[in-house]
Amino acid sequence: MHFFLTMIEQIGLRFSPFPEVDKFFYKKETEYLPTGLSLSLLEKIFYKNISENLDYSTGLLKMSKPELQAKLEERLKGWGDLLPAGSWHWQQAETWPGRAASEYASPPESREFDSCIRGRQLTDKELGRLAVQIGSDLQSVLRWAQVRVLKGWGEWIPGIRLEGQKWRCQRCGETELEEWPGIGGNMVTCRSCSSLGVNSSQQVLYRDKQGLERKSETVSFCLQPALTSAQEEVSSQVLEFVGQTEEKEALLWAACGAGKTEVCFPSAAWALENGKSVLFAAPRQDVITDVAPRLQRNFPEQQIQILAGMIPLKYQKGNLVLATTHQILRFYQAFDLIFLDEMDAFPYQGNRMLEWGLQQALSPEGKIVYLTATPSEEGLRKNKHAGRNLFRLPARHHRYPLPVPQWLKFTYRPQKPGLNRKMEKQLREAVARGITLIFVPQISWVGPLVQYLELKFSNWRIAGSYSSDPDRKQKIEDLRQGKYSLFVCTSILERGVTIPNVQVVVLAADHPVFEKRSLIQMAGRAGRTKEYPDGLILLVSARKTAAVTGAVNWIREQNYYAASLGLLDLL
Amino acid sequence: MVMAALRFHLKEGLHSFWLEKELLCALCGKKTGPICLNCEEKYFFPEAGRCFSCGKITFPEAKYCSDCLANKGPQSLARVWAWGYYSGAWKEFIRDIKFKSRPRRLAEIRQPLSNWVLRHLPVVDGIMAVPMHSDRLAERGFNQAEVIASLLHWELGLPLLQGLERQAATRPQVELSRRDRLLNLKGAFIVPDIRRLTGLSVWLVDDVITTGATLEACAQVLLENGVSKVFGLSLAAGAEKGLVPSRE
Repeated sequence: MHFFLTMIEQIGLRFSPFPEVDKFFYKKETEYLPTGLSLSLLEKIFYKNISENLDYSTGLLKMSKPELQAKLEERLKGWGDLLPAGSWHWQQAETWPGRAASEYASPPESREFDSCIRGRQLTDKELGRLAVQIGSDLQSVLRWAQVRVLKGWGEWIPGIRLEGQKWRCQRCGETELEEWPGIGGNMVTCRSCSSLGVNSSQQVLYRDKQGLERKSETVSFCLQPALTSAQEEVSSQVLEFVGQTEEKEALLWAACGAGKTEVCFPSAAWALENGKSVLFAAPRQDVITDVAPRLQRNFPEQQIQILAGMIPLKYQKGNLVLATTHQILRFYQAFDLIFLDEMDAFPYQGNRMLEWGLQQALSPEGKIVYLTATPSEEGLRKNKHAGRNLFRLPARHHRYPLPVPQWLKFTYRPQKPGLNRKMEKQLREAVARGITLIFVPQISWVGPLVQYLELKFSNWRIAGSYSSDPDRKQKIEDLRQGKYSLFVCTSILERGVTIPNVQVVVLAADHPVFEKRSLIQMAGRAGRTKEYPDGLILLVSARKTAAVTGAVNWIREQNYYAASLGLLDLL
Repeated sequence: MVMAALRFHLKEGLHSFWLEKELLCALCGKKTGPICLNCEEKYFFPEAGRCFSCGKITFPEAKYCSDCLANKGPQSLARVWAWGYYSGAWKEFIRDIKFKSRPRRLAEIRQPLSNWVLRHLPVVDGIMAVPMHSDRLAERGFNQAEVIASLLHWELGLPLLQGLERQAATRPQVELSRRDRLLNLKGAFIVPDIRRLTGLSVWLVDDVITTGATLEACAQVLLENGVSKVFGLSLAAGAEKGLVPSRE
């Protein structure tokens, strides 16, 4: 999108994509330089010389026209090829076309646009998709966005901006970018957030400053199932943090399957009732699909925005949002309360991009609650150092201890799938108890192992899946419905998934991808429901690695801690 | 110490020398680049001609391609050149840039492209890119023609000229004046400020020429608005019938 250096009588100087809209808005004489350039380049050219006289957030310049002319002449000498001095001329802005300009400024579709755009940060391309959804076209939508900018409700920023000497992607914060030759020097493209669509220094982001619609309302909230006394205790701690303290961040450390998401629901209800916007975010799509029905059950009449990669991009309304962490990059200061589930999980952990996105999506007075079952030692240390609250929920709601894994010595050779007699016996035992999940460290192991098992156990229903499997969603749904007796998978089912009566086998538990915390998570799939509070967990490997021992000890420790708090019925 | 430092520098030097030698072909990725001899033969036809009117690759002795002899090609450009034949790995390269958002890849062919342009095109007052409609620009994030033009501008030091624009095609016809309507129908291109371009000769750059209609539409508008001469230039175009099979 091109911007023009625009001069509005008695108002000042702006970088405007539509001088005619400015003219319509201010009802003043409006002139502009007819050479349209990208916003990042306009900033680069004019920033240094006129910045001291420019209010950057509004684009207003308090300077007389001859003064400006002189400054620009001087500045443009260095850009001779681009705008040869003396060859540029101010041009009168047209009138916004049509008989009644006001019809163009706010037709019915623009009101729809106004409610969908709140709290968003979108590229011009994404605005195009929004336009299609509300039955309009990109050019109209861009003009309505400009009206919002003029009203002070939003701003245009370059997709990638030159900060001092360094380019920075304004969507994801990345500074390592791909350079290419462009007008007025190098331009750049960001590859780090390219999964959301291309973003370059020639593009703009529209950043809405109004936040999601916040209105106090009675929220129909019914907690199903009811919280246990242990959950209730932690839930009131979270509510106190959210409602009564000045602190900004807290960490909720709960055992796998302790129902930590439910613990947050009362705080979310409180926030919604008080006219605040709430985001539940998780790094992976599977977690989103798992949480969505629970959220809907607990907030039956609430309009919930569900945003995940697999669900087609659609602009929805409502101030309760459930989204993958990538989707957060499309919001700006939109949320007063963020619950970040599985904060230690790939891809969030150590990902600068998503941390940046999280901070951008949070409103200035907003609060974050980090949720995890397996905080890293570093994470715990940081939490303590920052003086953040730590809430602990070490037991499951059914008051049974976490099932402790057993270790089995067996070397699995992926080139030649096969099981020894001991392993076969254990597997039969597991399948006799219930649905069995076999975790393998690599995608390439899944297919051959499934083939082998199908031959070996022809009366069992067996399937396998992995992250890039096109049928993944369907297979996991079938698994939840209990259609398989044996299911081979990579770490996709490691977290946030509840399947009743599941047994867990980890093949090659000594493989480097299976670190301590992921073993704990995989073990945490077993015994999650009241009906089946126990389960078999087998860690199978050639050697007993530190990760294996560490995971077993960790789970034992959680059980002891829970027992010491009196949260277990038997140990 | 000294010996160690010397060894280090020697190693570094050899290393960079080796890397320099190992620069691979931008097209096939196998032989020595930036474009290997094999790919040059296959896609750039160094000794073939280019149709004066549409830039298509022609037989060495032919001045025009058969389409242009039948008056189907562009009329307004002084002369047109296409660098390569739009097929195979070269087509892939261009498509990679356009559709996978990899404008950076153009830097790989900076040297051979500017050498070729210098050898064939006349010196002009400035370079212009075929502008892109803003809806499309929003979709893609960059205008590939502009990237090529900028690359030549930075390599050769010729001015990069602004002033040709692709008008928003979404404006409703009803509300436009007669003159605007004509322009809107005639083509999407306008020159908002005539004074800027008067008397200049330009290279008009696009990524691929198919029929030459885009170049023609731009050239007409430029000439109407005071530009003295327009030369067309593109990375790729088709080839005259019979030329390619005869060479394979």
